[in-house]
Amino acid sequence: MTSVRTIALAAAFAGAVAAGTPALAQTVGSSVSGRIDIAGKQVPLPPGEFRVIAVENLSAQQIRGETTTDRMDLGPIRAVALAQVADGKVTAVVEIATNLLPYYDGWGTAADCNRTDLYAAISRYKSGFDVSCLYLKPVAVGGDVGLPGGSAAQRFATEQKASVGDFWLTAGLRNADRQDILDVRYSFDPAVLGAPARAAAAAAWAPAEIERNAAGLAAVKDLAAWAGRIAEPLDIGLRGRLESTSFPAIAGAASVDAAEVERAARTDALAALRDAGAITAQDYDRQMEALGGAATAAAAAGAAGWTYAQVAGWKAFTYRVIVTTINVGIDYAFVGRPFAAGVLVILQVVVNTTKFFFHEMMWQEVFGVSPLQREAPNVIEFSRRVVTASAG
Amino acid sequence: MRLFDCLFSRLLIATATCVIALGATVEAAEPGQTFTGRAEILGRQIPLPAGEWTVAGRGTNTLTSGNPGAFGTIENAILARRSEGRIDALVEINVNRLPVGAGWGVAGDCTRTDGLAAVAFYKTPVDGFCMFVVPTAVGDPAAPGPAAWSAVRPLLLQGGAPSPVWLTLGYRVSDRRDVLDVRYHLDPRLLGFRPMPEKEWALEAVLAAPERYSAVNQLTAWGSLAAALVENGFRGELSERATALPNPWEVKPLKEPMSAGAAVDSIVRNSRSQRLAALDELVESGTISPEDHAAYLKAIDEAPPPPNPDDYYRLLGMKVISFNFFRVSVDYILAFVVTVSNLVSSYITASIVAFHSVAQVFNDMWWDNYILAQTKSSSNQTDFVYIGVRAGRVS
Repeated sequence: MTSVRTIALAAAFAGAVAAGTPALAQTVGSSVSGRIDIAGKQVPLPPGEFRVIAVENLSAQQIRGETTTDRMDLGPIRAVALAQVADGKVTAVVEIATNLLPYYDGWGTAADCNRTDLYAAISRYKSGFDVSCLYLKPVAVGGDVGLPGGSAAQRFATEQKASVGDFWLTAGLRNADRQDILDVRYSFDPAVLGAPARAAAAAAWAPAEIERNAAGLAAVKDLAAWAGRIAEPLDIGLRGRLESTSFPAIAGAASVDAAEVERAARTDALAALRDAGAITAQDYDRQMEALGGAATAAAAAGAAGWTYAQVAGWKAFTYRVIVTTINVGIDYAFVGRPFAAGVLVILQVVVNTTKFFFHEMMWQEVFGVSPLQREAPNVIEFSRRVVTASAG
Repeated sequence: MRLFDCLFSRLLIATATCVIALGATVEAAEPGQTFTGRAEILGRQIPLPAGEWTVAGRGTNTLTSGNPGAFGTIENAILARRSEGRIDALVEINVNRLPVGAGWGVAGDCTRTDGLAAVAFYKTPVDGFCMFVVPTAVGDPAAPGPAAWSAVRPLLLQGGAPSPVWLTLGYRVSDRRDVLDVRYHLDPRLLGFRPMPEKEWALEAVLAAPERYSAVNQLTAWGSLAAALVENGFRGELSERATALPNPWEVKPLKEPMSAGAAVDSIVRNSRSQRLAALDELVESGTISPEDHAAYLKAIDEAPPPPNPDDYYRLLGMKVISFNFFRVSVDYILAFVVTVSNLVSSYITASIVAFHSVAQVFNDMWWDNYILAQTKSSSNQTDFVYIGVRAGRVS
């Protein structure tokens, strides 16, 4: 009964179809503050007024090991850059990339989210179909490393008669679900975080050295704490439901216990529902308990959600134990000599285990892992490689 | 790096804890309010079949299974449509008020084996989208339901006794944060059936009755096509231009059959045809150049189609055959190396194949049952109180 009968409903439904692409109103030179809307998604901005300095289209690339593959089938990626000037200096640059076409199979994580040589790379959640991660890194401009915002930022600085530093701190956030993606990189001149720096002295800001740089450490901590608090609004913005236009300040962010702030906010929301009679006192208590055990709940979900690899591993182990026992009986029954039967059993155990491995490898090589089994997200980055520099 | 370890472990806790995000605070769907085309509740849009729909009941709901975390309340609304003085259809909606952090799980009706239809569009530990068709005892005078149901039940009696059993087409769509459970309850009289007792709409009875079988199939087909709009609505992306859904019985079969897959492709937001239409809009609006358009069009054209379960099982079948061929060859060679006898090697190989096959089946069954028990005990299924559904699902 699950098979769908072929009926001409498409025409009847045509009028009900959600169509059209979200308005793309951002233009170079416009001013925004609080948050910016791009292709139906909302991105929270640091405090202050920002100017849109670049609007362009990029294309996606998938990175697998050392191989980079163009993924133009993912459609054009809208990239918007914004910058802020204070006291004659470009102090902040925000680079945003988001999809213009929805996809059907999930997007993927950012390469920086998988790095281990940064100040931090944190995965809030990750599956084959959705991801939320953030990372922090120093950016010393020079050589292959460009200025955040690129030539547009340089042009903007010139127009504003502002200076632009050559050392930056970047907090990158990647949020993606089955259909959509938001990649945001917030870059700041460390001077606005109370720790002026230049590329020439970048060594003192290296992740391995930062703990010996007190001012730098404080700045990085503030930025880390701020990025952690902005990740959730960004997650809401990915779904187009971000209503707030006011977000935490960066300065002093590390002195606030973000977990406690968020817990208090949720506690207030639950208390308001209880006071309004929307939930009973028992519901309130139960959910407060769940709130306290948020990590436990996630762990429980993980325990229930065995991964394909775990199940396969345990299945293979128990199967091997069973069939080896069977082989002992079969081999002895037909060979009749304990030593020869023992040799054969050992050969079977060794070769069959290896055989399974090589067969799996062969299938992986020829067919790859079925997307239906995918557990880890792809690594997707964006580039200007394609095609013409069209911008709206 | 101890300081950083400390900092980031705190940050990790902070980010693992859900921030308060009430989402859309629009308090839509108040009792007495009317809708056409679609309704909206807490930022989620629900497409409606043709006609005027009135919010007949509104309240909060409770969970009957599952433990998704601190979700605040489940907001419940029941919309009713009147025709010729009586209610002929209901839409039952459940949405969460606060987002959770690890997904919601499926609805029990999506995993029933005695339902009239069930389709899983996608399902992972953190998100899922499924559809089902079941009979529901909506017209039963003692039919249970959520709090809002008490306001709706008396209305059903207006205009005469309702059919005891209605046909329900339901959807459960959820992501890591939010859930939408929507059930369209239809009086079978709309489909030309006299009121019938529950047993007449049981799976076996429907399979034995061509007219009922056909009606359920038509409802399923309608539901498969409306599914795209439900998912768009869950994401708050139902177009402003969206018009009301046709009713299932108002659509006519094509002279030339068209596959349901092709029909679905014509309306799903992320389907190939809709992506191409959106790409066309981008070039028409000047967002991308014609050269870009051509390049993206070519890439989309050349991209492999989305994976589907048929591909998966085909590949799995080939893998089993390949592995067994590999296995028999290796086992025979090993046996021959030790015994230097074709006959004995053949016996050993044949015995191994036979015994191992049986062992594999039992090993798989044991693990499948074990995983199933784990999944059930961790409540990877979340249900609410529904109209006409008693504990343990007796419609």
